[in-house]
Amino acid sequence: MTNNTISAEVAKEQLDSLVEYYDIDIESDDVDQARARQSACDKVIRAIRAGRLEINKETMVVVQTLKNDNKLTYRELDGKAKVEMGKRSNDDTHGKIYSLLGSLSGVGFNGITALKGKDLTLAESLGILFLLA
Amino acid sequence: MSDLSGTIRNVTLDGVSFDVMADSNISEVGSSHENEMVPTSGRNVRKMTKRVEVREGLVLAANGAERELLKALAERTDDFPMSYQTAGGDTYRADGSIEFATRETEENRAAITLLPRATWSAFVA
Repeated sequence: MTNNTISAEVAKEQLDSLVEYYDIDIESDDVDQARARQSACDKVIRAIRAGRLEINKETMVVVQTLKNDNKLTYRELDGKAKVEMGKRSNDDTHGKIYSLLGSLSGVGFNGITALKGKDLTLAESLGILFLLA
Repeated sequence: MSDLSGTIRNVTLDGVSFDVMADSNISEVGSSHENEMVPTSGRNVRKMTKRVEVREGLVLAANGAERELLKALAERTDDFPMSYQTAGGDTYRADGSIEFATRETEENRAAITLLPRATWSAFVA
């Protein structure tokens, strides 16, 4: 059982600040899309509550704490990171996410692809939200 | 950590990834201090002098646009995140700056040195 260190309200506030700042549209007419987006939000909230993710509401810097206690710090989303996505082909969604996160964290595409388990799942959830921004 | 050696897999400077020349060989300063022993009539005195953990010898493939990017990075006055991944998959990261020495147009080879503000840390996923 996970020991939640952050309340559900505070976790939702952090996520909402990210969604609002980037004007992310969580809703979708496509049922599968809507489900995927909501799933990403749920995973992010769970991670915040468990202390594995923190979103700074002022700076939009997101810090992910990995299983081995290493940290990945994702800076505020910018054009540079979106250009990195452009280096992947249009149908390579995972590649785009990894490039984006690699740029934002500074560890590069290969650094993100080395993530495993919950660390990777959480990073991908975050990436889905950033893709919608 | 793997014992595989060879071509650097990737370099990311301020969030931008660059291709690395296959024959690029990074020369890594081994540690944060240079160690010496100063002889005395009795026991030698150990001397540790702080040094910068530079990474020299990195050669990137840089077209015109990338050349301008590298130039801009080299002329920045604030630190930015840098990382590189070795052939064995080990990723090292630090904040700092770069020295952009030359670009040779015959093969678009850009020679840079990574200058960390503090120390390099191994990123283990």
